[in-house]
Amino acid sequence: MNSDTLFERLAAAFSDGVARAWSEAEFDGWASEVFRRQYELNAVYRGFCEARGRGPDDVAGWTDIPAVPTSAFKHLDLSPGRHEAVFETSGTTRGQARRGRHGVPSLALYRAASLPGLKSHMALAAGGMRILSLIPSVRDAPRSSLSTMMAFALDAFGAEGSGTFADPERGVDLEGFAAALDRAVDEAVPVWIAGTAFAFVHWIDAAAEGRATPVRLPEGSRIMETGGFKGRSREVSRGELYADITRLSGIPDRWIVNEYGMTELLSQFWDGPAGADDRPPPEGRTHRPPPWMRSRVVDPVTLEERPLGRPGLLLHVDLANVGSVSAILTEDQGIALPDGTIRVLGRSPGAEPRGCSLALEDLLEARR
Amino acid sequence: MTGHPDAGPGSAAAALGRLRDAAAALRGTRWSDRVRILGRVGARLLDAGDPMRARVLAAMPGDARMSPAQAERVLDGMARDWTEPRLDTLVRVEFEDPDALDRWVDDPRAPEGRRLRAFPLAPGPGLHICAGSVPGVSVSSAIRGLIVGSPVLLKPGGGDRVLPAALIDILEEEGEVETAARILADAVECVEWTGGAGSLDETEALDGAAFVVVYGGGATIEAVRRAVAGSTPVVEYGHRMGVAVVGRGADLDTAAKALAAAVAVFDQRGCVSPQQVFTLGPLGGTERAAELAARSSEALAALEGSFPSGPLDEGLAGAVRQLRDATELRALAGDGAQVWGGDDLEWTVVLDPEPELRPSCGGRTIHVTPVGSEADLERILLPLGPHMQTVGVDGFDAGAAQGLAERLARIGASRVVPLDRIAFPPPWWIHDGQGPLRRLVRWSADGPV
Repeated sequence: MNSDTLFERLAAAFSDGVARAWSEAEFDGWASEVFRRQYELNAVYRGFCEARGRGPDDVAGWTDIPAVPTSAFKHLDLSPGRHEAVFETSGTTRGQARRGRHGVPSLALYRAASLPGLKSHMALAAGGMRILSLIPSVRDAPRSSLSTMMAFALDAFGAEGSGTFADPERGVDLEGFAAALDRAVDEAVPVWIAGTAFAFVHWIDAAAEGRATPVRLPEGSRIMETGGFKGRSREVSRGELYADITRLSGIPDRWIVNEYGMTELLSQFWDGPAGADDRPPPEGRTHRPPPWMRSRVVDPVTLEERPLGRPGLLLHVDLANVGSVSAILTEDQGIALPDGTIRVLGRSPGAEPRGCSLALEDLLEARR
Repeated sequence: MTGHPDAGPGSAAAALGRLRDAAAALRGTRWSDRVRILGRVGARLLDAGDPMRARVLAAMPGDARMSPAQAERVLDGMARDWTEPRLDTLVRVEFEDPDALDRWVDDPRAPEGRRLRAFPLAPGPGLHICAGSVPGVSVSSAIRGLIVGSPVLLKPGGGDRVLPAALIDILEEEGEVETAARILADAVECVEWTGGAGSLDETEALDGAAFVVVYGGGATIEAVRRAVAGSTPVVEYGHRMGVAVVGRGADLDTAAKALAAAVAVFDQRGCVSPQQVFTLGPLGGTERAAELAARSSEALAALEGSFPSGPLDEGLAGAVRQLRDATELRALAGDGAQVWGGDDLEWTVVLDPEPELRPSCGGRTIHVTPVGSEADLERILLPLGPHMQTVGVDGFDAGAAQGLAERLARIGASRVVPLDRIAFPPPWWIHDGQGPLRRLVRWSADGPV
């Protein structure tokens, strides 16, 4: 087996885009090959699989591949060999707690896994468009998988006038962003604004305080929203958030797209495509994985698959994770739907209601 | 159960109105009568022949997500502290002259003499918000308020709704045969709303209460502080973390059984529950930590048969799954971690050699961490500061135990006790650093000083 070739072949397969669905057999074939590589190169993961009686010859399909929990990334390097980058989980929701670290052997593969979804779900035409990013640049946040993905987007799709209007220390550059918005309006150039939910809340709060002015952006402008709020100053529903964004930018909610990703996965889920006429209201949208990723909803006790429509823990198998571990058990709850999409219900709340014992989140909050 | 007002918009305002009306009559009762009548609540809930006990035991497991065995143990542990002798001791421990709750009393300690009187924290009903799921917390809070002569509007926590209803029912029944009991029955009401949702009841209660007692996490307490007028006193009981320390002299089998019992009573929900246990011993405590972890796992496994845990909710099960599998991977990587657990995630013991704070994710889950010295222990616990609640200790001789208690108390521990005393502190315990009744009163002095 030649791993480099496997990386290259996967990248080539990803470059076919997200429009064509991969058959179960096609996905299983890839998954089997990827699992064999991970089993052979990663002794810790191999031990984990052996404890479950699952080796490459015991796995009939992707659903048989043992999944590692996302929290394992906080303690272990699960990517054997040389890394081109190491992504870290955000420190915003876990205070000073240990961050998850995901070593990435091939940024080219991460790029190959990211661009098709970005292009398709942001409904980009040839030539790209002007991108206004409220996500810190990869220069300022080299360990952020999101910043790296936005660097790919800016490089591949960013037209003249694109730029980044945030940094990790100072947050959103409201002044620069306002100037870019005004320029887009003056020049009648539609823009793609990319940001975390929290960055948009910052913008909305600034407008409420008179530090930002609503604009009416040219038709065809669109929003990519990602991330959550936990641990931040306030949380709002997605419907509320989008209504506020529409009020501030003039961009209708059908042109607002959510990306669901995590540091431990190198592929992303999307609830686009932007601008489609048949998009449901924000609260009713579901997320679709790319063809090279599959998801299951499992019982946290038995890890057995739950029927469609029944909530449980989300477990993903992402072939773009070929350099680490592809099967990942998340801390997010979700529902699998018959159309192959998932509804993400959010972070498992832990023991709720918990009582009067201090939870980790409370402890970290108290220590800030 | 009867005596439980219908929830709904306007319930809180109406309840506060009735409680204001009840305040004068409550002021006219003596503390000793209040303690005597409230003591019947504990006595009846302990009485195996009382139908109220049977009703509570039937309803508690479902409401509190506990096994029937846990519900019975918790009821017995809590109700024992609501009996007259225990409540009488509480008052006498807290007040040098308890009659100060009823009238002006001489204070011979003051050089020029003076008279003192203890009044409720503010005139009017107190709002007791119990945002938690430990059964009994709401009733204990209400009883404290009534003892100091303050009408109580109770917002019980989810999972703690059965016992407040029983309190009200018992007082109602007692009120049919004794006037003073009737007065107490009129001085406590219970209203439910979803905390933080901005409901009419929540707004009315926060606006209308003379003072607020709030049990909850940082966000809940902060929200209450923001919602009440600046002049409204707020008594806060924030979330806390309990730990245990097992010294070189401990018999590990005994310690493990005591720890398992402390973990199991409330499935780690209580602020006193020991979430992490530190072992001291040769080789940095490593060998003893491993042995204690193994024996704790045996003890928890045995308890699961005789004293089953409550049902796991999805979120908790997910958190335990993450912990279990991540620890297994760490063990395979050779970092010294080990994990033991029940087949259905009902209990988990993690041996974690990293010298860090590890709050339990909940359920019957405990971390065992070796430490080389008391100084190392102090360094690990220091960030916890005032969030440290009970520390259970075992295996120290008297002198060493005193020294350890001094160290832990300086950091923030408010209670240092033997392992087998962790679960049920007496009513007169130093709750988060202060006497629980004294936090509910204000003092007035009459005299030359």
